[in-house]
Amino acid sequence: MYRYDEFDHRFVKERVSQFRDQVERRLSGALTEEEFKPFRLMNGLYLQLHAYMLRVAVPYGTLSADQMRRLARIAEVYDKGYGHFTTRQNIQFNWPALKDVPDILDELAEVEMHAIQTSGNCIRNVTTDAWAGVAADEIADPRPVAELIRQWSSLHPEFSFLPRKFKIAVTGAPHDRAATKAHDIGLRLHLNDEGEPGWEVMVGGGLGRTPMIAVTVRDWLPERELLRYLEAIMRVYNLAGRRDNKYKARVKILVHELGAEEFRARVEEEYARLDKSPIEVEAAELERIAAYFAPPAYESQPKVVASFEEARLKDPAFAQWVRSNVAEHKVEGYAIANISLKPEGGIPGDATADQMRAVADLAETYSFGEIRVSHRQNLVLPDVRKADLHALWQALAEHGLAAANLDLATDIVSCPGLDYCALATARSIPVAQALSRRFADLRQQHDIGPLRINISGCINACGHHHIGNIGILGLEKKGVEFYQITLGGRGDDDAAVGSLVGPGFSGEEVPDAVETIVGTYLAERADGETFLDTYSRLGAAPFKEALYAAR
Amino acid sequence: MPLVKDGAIIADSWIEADADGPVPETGDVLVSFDRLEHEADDLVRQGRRVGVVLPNTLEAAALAPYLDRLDLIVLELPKFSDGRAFSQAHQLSRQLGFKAEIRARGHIVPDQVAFLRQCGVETFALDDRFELDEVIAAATSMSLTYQSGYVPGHGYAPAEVFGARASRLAAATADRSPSTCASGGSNT
Repeated sequence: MYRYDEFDHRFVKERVSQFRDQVERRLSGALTEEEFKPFRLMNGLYLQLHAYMLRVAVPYGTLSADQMRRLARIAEVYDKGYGHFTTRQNIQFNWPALKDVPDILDELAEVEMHAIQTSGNCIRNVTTDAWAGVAADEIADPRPVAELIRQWSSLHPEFSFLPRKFKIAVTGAPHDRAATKAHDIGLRLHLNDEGEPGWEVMVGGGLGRTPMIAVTVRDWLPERELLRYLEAIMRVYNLAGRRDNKYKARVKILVHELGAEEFRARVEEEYARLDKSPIEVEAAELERIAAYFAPPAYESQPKVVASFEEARLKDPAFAQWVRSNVAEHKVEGYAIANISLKPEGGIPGDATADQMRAVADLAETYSFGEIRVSHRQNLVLPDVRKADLHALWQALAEHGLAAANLDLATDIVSCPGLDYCALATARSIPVAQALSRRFADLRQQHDIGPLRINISGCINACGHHHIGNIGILGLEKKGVEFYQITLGGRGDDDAAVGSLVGPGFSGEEVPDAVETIVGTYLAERADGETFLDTYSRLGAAPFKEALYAAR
Repeated sequence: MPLVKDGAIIADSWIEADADGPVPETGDVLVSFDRLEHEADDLVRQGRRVGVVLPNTLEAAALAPYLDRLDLIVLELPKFSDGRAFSQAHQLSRQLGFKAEIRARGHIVPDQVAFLRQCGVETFALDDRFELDEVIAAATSMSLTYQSGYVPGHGYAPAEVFGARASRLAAATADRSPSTCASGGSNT
């Protein structure tokens, strides 16, 4: 993985001193709260319902074992002993004190981490496929480009006071596991006829109150021109994006209001006139970064790993975990082990300091010391020998980390909701917990098959409910929480926004409603059909009928 | 606070003309964008230095026909969180080649001065409640920048990280090359 050089170290250190000074000036009154706000946000610090919340960047979801141990330490020393992994591959600490934050940032800097631009109206932490570099279907590892974007977007002098936040996602695989079409800019790698890598550039996707799927502005952009082209898009947006209404300020609204053609024309016009001279130095930089992502020293493994096959036959619980949580690796004899942070009745994405340490140790023992955070709020050990999977699974089980439910009904994505968040209109965690208990039967979950349930506690959609196969949105009317359900959303290569199925439900009714939806699918499905297959074949009608006929 | 340039307070020679009143008789005159078209040539002919206030709703390119006659362009930040002036400044200085003074005024927080300078702004009119020391400290807190093409041409300038890495690499390569050794180049 990427390692800081002296410049990166100095940069992050100076940034922490700068923030220390800003905190002092806020406390002395030199800065008003309004003026301090964007600077604390650009350092990841939110003011929530009960306390400050610090969101730490995990750039493109890649962590070393040492970094994970440091996160565990921060959770213990400065928080209540746990952290929350988010849908943007970051981690949030919910209870830090303002006075401690510069110290926390110092501790992060020591392990090459920061909280830069995890919030605010700037270019946010860049996200990617949690299986980057190891997925069997991948064209190339997208992380060198993600790291290049991280550096280029860090404290960008021109693009730090944008109309609104700006999110970039990158994927190097044909199967989109980074929801690139639901981002302000989505980048997908393609090879041209000569076999050269280039990027499909998509702009204007996003969730929130106006969910939209991104449109392609360039089919294939030569890799070396990427930062220049991004600059053109950012400049068009910074100058023309709406600033009169916060809810219409995202780039998706600009793309929508101008129309894709006009937006593309403006970007190309800006691109034509901007300074291309940095292309050489940026191409050299990409090459320098790429060297850090060279594959680890894989050992030659037999095609069939006898001990692994035997363990699967002997131990049905292990077999079940392998079936749901282990994915195909590009190297023979290796596997991608996904660690679910969705135990029965748990809070999606939460991990205790002990669990973080356990994962760090296991990563060192079994996965070249590397860990990933997925946008589904789970963790990944990307490079595990098949021969080690059984031992790994047993160790995970000791720490409550062996839930065999990846991409199944209880692998629920949820924002913190009204239990923590100042913007929330309803609670989301208790709903996730109730659903997790309702569908706890693993055999039933495996029978239901792939099913993505996403819950957001308000219209801002941090739980990505729009792209959940079953999306649940918590709202509030006259002081009472209620939940709308959408069906058919998906964040993959056929990205689609879910459709509202009908009138909302109370929190207590949600598990029954979801069970009715799942029951309808099970009754209607043809051989081999997933929930999404059945839904797209039949549409919403049978689900509506089942949900509302009795009302 | 009086006008600031490169960490020092400087005198402001410019007088701003009212929106539709008469232009001041003598001295450097600052006019609105609307008056520029009709009055720029006259003022230049009188030997006056002319400046313009560019609203942040207009593209920098709107000033292209006038740039050779302008000695000052004032960019406005109605609210410090409105970042359009950053792009306007970059376009004026880097794309349109405007070499004279670009000034920022309005609601500017000291912590923005470094970025504005990197985008090409030279002088700042900040609110009186900010101290010069505070502005200098904020403007010099970062010694590095990851972006190419954002180093100010005067005063305090952060170093370009990508450029610094590239030159280091080039130096290392040159040091290792046989020709350097043959000519007795030192490997310091």
